[in-house]
Amino acid sequence: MWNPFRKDPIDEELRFHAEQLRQERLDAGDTPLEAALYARRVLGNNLHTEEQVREISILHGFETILRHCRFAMRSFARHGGAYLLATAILALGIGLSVAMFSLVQAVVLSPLPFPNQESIQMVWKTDAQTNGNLVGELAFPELRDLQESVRDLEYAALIPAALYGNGRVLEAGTAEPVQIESCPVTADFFRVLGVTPMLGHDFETKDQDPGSSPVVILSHSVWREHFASNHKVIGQQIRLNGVGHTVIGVMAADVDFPRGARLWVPIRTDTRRGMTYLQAVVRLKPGASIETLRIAVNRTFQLQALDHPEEYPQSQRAVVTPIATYLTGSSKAQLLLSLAASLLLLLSACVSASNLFLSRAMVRRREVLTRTSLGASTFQILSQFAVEGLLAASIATFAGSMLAVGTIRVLIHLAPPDIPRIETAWVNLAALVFAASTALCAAVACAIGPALLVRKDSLESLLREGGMRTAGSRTGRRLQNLFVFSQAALTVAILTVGLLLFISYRSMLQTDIGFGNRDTLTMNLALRGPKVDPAIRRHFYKEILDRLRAAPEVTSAAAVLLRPLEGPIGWDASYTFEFEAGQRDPKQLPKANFEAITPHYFETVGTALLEGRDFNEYDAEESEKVIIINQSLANQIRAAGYQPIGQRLSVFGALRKVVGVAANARYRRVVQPADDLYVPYRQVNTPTNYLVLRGVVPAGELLTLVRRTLKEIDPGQAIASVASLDELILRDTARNRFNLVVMMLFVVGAVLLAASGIHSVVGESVAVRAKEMAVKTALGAARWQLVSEAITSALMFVAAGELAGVLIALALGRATADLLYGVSPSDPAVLLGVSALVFCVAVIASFIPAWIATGRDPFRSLQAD
Amino acid sequence: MPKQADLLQGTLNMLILQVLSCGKANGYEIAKTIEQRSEEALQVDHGSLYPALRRLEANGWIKAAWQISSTNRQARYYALTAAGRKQAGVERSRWQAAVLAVTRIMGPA
Repeated sequence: MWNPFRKDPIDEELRFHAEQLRQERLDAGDTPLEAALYARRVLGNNLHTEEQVREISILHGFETILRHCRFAMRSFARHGGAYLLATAILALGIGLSVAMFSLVQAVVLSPLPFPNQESIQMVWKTDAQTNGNLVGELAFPELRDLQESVRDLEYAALIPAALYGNGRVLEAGTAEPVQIESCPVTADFFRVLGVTPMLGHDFETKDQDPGSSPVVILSHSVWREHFASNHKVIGQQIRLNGVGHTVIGVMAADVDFPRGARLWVPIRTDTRRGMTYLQAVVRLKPGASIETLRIAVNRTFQLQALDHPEEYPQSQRAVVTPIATYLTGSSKAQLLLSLAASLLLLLSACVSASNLFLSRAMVRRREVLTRTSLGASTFQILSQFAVEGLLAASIATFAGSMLAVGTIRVLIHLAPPDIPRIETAWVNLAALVFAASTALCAAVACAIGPALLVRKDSLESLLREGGMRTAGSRTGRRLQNLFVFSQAALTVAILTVGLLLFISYRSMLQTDIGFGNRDTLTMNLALRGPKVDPAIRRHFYKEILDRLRAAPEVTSAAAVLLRPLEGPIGWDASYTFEFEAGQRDPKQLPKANFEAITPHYFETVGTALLEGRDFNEYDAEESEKVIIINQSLANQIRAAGYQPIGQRLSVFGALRKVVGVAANARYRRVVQPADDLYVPYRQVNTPTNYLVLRGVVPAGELLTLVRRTLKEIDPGQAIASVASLDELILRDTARNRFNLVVMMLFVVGAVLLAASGIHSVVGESVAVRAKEMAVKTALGAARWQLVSEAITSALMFVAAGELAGVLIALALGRATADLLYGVSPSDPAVLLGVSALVFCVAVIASFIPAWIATGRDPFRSLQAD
Repeated sequence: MPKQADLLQGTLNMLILQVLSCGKANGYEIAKTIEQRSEEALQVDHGSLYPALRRLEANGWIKAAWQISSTNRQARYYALTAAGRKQAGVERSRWQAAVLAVTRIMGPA
């Protein structure tokens, strides 16, 4: 086959030719010199010939490409609509899939800045009998349990299960004190991660001693913002919570673990096994597997239960999670789902575009026939189609990349803040490679249809059909039917997932989460330093609340241990009802969400008190211990045949009398119902860390008022993470909203693609049957009859494809069941609704071209061609 | 010995196709065949043979492959493609028509 890029073998050919000529003369008896001269004369100037030959090759190469391109442009112009549509469809598919790939790349595939990150594992507990799916935390002494009995560990460290409540107030110079997210860690924490400070040195075991002088390692951002990136900061004393700490190190900018931590301080040795608020992070020895780790940790936890039966239940089990999964969490499942959806969309786009190209190829069979009879080889025709496909694919890749850039920007903007590293997403090199291969796939898809057709339709059958617009070749029709089938299937699958996410999101927002006053302003006001003492703290809170309540702008104010929707980990308290005393195993008591609150808390956040009374100032340290329970706990008491009010519960080592029943409220997540216990702040040692207040002025003015009041009472305290209840709810549902937006993009794309695909198939089938229909019309066939004839077969394949799509959707739905809320993945209404919708779209998309075609003047149709 | 005639402009392509319709040949053989069949009346400029061969190849009428020649050396052999065979027929009938027309004008020799 002629190839313009291969080096032309002309010099070898000429050498052979000259040799032959010379041999001819030598055989005739000439001298070698005469023979050489003869050859030279007959063959002429070699250089000249070579030059001529090369010119032809180059010219021909250019000409071929130019001709193909010119031809492609001409047929684009002639069949413009279809090619434009095909290119736009490809661009849409490429753009959305590249955007999703870039996001997945940034969040899931990009390695963390930790060497051998796959050997870093998070370890905590679970106990099916007491806390269900809640996280079971560890206590400090358990670090030694792990280190002594699990042999596969290279390093092990402890960190808190959640960061909130660990903020430190930094007083740096004359600036206002600021609260900074901090993470207490054990000495080997950074050795587990495999990183060392970029300045200074790491923690040592002696830093954990209760008597040692306090030290701190700064994050890069704190170093930059509060210490002006000064290298002399190492060894300096800084004040955290009013206590002097020596700065011993600064970490590099990419160390962000646990996510959001900006200071690291050592955890002090604590022998109390009941102080469970930690989780372990461990590094495996090279070659050790996560499975053997899980077995070893489980054995350790069983030994614990034997050694300390008073502390640990036999039913506790280990939860071991790779650090990457821990960081990306369910966002990994969500992004992979989006990636799957975008691949489905890309597939659908390729199917649609191929279909359009195929339709054109069928129309152009006469052109193919003409060119074949004029001597064009199959290769030439194939390369013609390939150039057309490649041209469309290149334009689509370019437009698709632009679309991807835009989509990524929009999605980063919409993304909830807790999807790690999403802000680093960009159309990166990998995504570009992905785009290029996508385009190539698309080009192949575009070329395959016509190529198959040209190959299958041998010259003879083309001649037999006379190249006229007859009812189309069998192969072509079969391919088109397959396209319609697969497109209906893919569309139903994408649409179902989209609708399920939409219903989930809506039922999330409609859930009664028990907080009526969404304008309530909340903020962290955790007291630090010497003010941690309960008496001082209570006095401080009483004073600031009294002052705030006295302000005319404030309608109500209160304080609480942990505000609603701060995160999935909170305070759990075991409880027993007095009437079941002694019936329960003390290690396996049920747990409930625990809150210490001041009076007026319920009216501030808008949780209804269904029975009894709120706490008041008479519920003091020395008065009778009281408690307020939520409705689900009250129902449990009623189910046992008792009255909730006046019943007593044992919580935190004291019997507390129920004085009120509050409506159910969701403190952990919008989608997570739980039991709640409320105790007056003066009757427990746990602090109140959050201020909640409502007023008649905008949030900004309320905040200024709080700051002013705080300064009057104690200028050393700082307020952090101010948010209204509404914002907290939005934050908790942000991921679902993000998913929804992403899926809606795909849904719109998928429906557009399906409609255009079916439209083109039916349009083509009526175009090739124009004469047949004209004859029927002339013979008096009714228009609706012709229309139904034209669209029935396509609609049958749509229906069959929808059945397959329902099966795909069921499989997808099962895989993503944990993203759904308030709807079953196999909800018949959803599946039926989606199928009906796709069918309606298909009917409309096929009806339009059929209706137009049957409306044509039959005589003109017969005369055409 | 008959008088030597210059090769008519544009007929070289036709002659090559005609020669190749009897079977594949290398450049030297094609030139020699044309000369011998015309009883040396037609003198081929061997150098100009190759641009012509390239043009035919580019049109998809002939294809080339390296083979061992009768003199036991590597040579590039040309053969007709299906399209080339058809083209040879087209050119032959066009030539015959032209010859017929010219003969009618010139009268019988």
